[in-house]
Amino acid sequence: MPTPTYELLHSTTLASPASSITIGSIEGTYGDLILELSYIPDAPALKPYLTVNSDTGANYNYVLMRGVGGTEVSASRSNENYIFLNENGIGSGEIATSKIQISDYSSTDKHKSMLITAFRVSGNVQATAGRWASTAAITSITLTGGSFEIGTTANLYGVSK
Amino acid sequence: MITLIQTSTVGSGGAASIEFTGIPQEAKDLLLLLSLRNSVDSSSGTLAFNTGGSYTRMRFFGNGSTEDSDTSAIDIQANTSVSTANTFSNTEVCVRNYSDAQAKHYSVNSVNENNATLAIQAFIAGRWSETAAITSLELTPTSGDFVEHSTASLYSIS
Repeated sequence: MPTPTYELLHSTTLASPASSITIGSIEGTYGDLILELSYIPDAPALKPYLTVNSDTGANYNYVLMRGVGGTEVSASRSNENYIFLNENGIGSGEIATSKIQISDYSSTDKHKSMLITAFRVSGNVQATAGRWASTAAITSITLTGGSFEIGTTANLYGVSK
Repeated sequence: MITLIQTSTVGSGGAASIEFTGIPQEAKDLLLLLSLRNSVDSSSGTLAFNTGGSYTRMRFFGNGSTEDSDTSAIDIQANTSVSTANTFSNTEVCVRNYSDAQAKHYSVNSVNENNATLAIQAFIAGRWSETAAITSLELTPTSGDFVEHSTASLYSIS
């Protein structure tokens, strides 16, 4: 039986505020991962960032571009401890969305690359190309950076190749 | 799982809009994939859900030589009458939690491929103010019509 091509692996809807969201025990049977997020900040403002496999070492590198309504930014970050989804953050009461695509997440012979888009309708739009400098297979994803409010959703999909 | 709800292909004579109705409510998100070309020299278009409500947008885009960001009433980029022949745009729209009782947020990644130095790529964050579940969706060019062979495919993600 073929592996389903876009399979829901994990779904979270917060019933109470949380300081982080971790999706663990990710099986290695798919080619890519796609994480769809709709997040609501609890006060104070949320500035979400991503780590994988509980690694908070200086192993994250990324290039970003961002538009803020008349001001545009392009920048790179090296040897960071995480990757920001949206460096400008999200104000209390807003809803923002993100899509995180991780290629070859279960490979053990390459660093893991990811494409991240972050959409905040009253603030900014950011696109990020990131790399986790490790050849380990990704088995967990953690989102941190403030407090996520009730109603925040995180849906992780496995994409077969 | 991604499930195709419907594909709409514009026939000869073009179409002033493309509409999907009776959208099922069982899924988490909606995914819309577009391949569009406009009959006139105008690349922009809008997205409308159900009826009524207001829209707020943040667009970040580049055209091969400059970049900008604004709050224009634009949701999609289509190829135009002056684009290279036979070229159509490529757009992905994702509508999160489309059946929830809250304002709806959507994201757009849109490019009007053109085989030339001028081509717009845009990332757009959008919000529809209404809390009703989305049951219909309509795409409309700012001016002109969508030409023959333009396609729009609506999927549910569950």
